[in-house]
Amino acid sequence: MLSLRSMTVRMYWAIVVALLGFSIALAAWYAPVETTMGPIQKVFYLHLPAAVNMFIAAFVVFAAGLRYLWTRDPRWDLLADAAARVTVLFCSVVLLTGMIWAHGAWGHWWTWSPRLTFSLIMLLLYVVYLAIRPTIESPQRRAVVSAVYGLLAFMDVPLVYLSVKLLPDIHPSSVELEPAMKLTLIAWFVPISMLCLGLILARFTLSTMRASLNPSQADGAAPAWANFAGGHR
Amino acid sequence: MNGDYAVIGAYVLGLVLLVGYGVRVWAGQRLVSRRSEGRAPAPDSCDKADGDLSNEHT
Repeated sequence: MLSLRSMTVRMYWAIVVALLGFSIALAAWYAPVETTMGPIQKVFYLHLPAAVNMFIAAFVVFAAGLRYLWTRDPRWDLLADAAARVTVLFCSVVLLTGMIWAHGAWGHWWTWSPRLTFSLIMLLLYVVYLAIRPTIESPQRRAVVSAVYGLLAFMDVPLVYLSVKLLPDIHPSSVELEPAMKLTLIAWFVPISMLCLGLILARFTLSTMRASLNPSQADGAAPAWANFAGGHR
Repeated sequence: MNGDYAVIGAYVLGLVLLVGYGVRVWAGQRLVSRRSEGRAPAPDSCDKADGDLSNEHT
């Protein structure tokens, strides 16, 4: 017998999958083919929502780190860790889809333009965030170092966003969209944002489950609301 | 035509990464849940290389 929470979580993921399917159909058959770039422009519907959610996930790392430094509650450290993983994931998707788009539109996979360079730096910053965590034995020290590092790493986010506006860049800063394209883009924002939020909470739940199973490794007790994606507890 | 294949490739790559990570986290939750119920071996009692997801930092 499933609990109400498990059913809610399953319903959430079912809605994400359904909306993803709907969005794929819109991008494939409803959105018109852009005249200048051709079909490769359709990568945009995944690329832009992934980029915006990459910023949101990075902001969660920043905010959770700040909150940890304020409260010293280890759950905020676990949340920041979960968000950092999702930041790396979304940043990888943004860079990979961007490279495929660049190859189709510009004729080369990569160029050292300001936005692309700062995006790559952002990926590396959050990979390093995840890489340094296991090297610190003490959970408290690990959390403090991670929180401070997360605050510093977030400084790259405005550089990624503003570089295209302030510096000469091959990457477009804004695009004119037809109404059908706008609708498709909005449709893509919904499941990708839900996916981002769901993945952060699911990873956070996994961390809190492990912490409650083995309190010596991470001294954060699982909160009652931290049961996302599984419903196995 | 090449543009079509590139678009399909980009979407498959992106969605496989996103959904694949979700499945990985779900599998991790299942494993930890089974351990907490005593239906799976504890992290220290099995080979780490044998699909073990117990490391907090994986």
